Amino acid sequence: MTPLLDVRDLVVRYGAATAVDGVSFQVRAGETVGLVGPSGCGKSSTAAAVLRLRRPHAGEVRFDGLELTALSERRLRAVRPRLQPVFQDPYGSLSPRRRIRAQIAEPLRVQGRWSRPAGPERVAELLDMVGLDPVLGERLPHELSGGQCQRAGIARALASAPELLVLDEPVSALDPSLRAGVLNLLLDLQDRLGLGYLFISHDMAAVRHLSDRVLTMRAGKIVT
Amino acid sequence: MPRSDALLSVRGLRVGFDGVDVVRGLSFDVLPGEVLALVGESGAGKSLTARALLGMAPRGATSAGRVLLHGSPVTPADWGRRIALVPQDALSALSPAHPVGDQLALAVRSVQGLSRKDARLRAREALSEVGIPAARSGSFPHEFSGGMRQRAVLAMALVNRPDVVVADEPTTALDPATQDMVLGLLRERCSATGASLVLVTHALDVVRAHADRMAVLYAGALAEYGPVDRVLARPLAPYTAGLLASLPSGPRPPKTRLPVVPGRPPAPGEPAAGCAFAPRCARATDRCRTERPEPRPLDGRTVACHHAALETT
Ligand code: SF4
Repeated sequence: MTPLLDVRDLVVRYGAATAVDGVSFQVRAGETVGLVGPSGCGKSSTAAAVLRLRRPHAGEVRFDGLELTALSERRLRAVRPRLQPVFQDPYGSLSPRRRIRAQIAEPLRVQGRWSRPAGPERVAELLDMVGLDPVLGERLPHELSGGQCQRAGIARALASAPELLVLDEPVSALDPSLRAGVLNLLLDLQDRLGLGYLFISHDMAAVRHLSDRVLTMRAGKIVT
Repeated sequence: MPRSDALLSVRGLRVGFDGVDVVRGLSFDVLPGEVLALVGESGAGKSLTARALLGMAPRGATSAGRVLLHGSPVTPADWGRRIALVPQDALSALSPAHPVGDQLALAVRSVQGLSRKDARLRAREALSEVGIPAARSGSFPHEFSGGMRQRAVLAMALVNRPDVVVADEPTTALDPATQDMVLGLLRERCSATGASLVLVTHALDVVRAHADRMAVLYAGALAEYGPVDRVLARPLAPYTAGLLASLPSGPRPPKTRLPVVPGRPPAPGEPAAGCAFAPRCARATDRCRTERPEPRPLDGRTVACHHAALETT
């Protein structure tokens, strides 16, 4: 079976500095791979290259057999919805001035999957799926708690019908009693939708708990 | 009554806005040379408490209660001198426009009547105490590495040799290894000078690694307060127990669902009567909903809960 994500010999450089130095790993559907290591070890640069937020210097990023590094931005557009990021700062990753429901609807509109009444129904369904009362869709991000806001961010990522989520410190900004709820949600969504997760964090306990395999990076290389 | 051996005593502290208390009557002691962690989630009032200790309550806040240092009320002259702050946004403690040594010397001169020369000497000494060569005192903050800047912030808090250092989540933005280094250095400096450290944090692993005693706050009030090893090994307040059980670090198979404390903390002003945790507490009774639990001694700590008990099994 083709792995969902197949990273081979990835190299990311910033000027003369090598942030990622020949990294290879795979993520299968329904599997969580944890990526840990100290600040500056290259884990976030790896995530950025996987999401094609930046073009790697060398190596391959295959998503469902498709080589992403070679794709033009126009061709990438068709693939992007299938791999979605979830970031640490739930408030920062949502627009402060637009209602939650409009932000969750956006991927549906952009991908031409918006219609009435199916569109609004899908938004309500996504909110429900992440454990939010659909009435919260009427709110602005600052009117939600940190935990609710992170759930809304996950709902927006799910609106694209992704197969892989790149989770970059998704629970680090949350209070302990809310963190457990979001971790449980991620486990439920994976069971239900068969999502693959690349989970990047320095919260070792959370990574160990969520992951099938944990890779440790140091100075740009995977060391275990 | 404040403990007679306490360095800093807080009694009945209330801090609020527009008549609504966020910190709702808090009492605790900081013993000489100890590290006390103030633990709580967002909105529990821990940062507001820390600010109140330093006379830095935000504009518009009202406060009541007593803060005693060596048994006498804290005065504005103590702030920054006998009680010092390591702020949350640590780097904001340094101005980008002046050499670090000058900023330290200014901090010394503003509270101690030292000559310019003596202040400069003390500034150089404070830098070397945190492992920054005194020769670098003419450097600007941006000329330092990230780690050195963190240490310069500690030097800023320590330069006037305070009795109490209050560190308000000083390391949340750092990775765990750097966090440990910064807190380890701060702890070492405090013990070298005999200062006490009040560590404000929401991270229980930081508490486990760095604190002697902990005060767990919930909705602006004390839930549980005592030695770290005791509280973490066997939490007696239902809130503390729920919090600890929800941590992913417990001994459980990977990918199992974590026990979640249902609901969310109350908004300020929301807990009308009784125990603020009652709506989320599996053990709540009618009494919990009407009568606020007073902190009481139990098993070598203080617990504010009507039903907490040492189950003898
Ligand atoms: S007083 Fe009652 S509601 Fe509050 S923590 Fe104790 S048992 Fe729970």
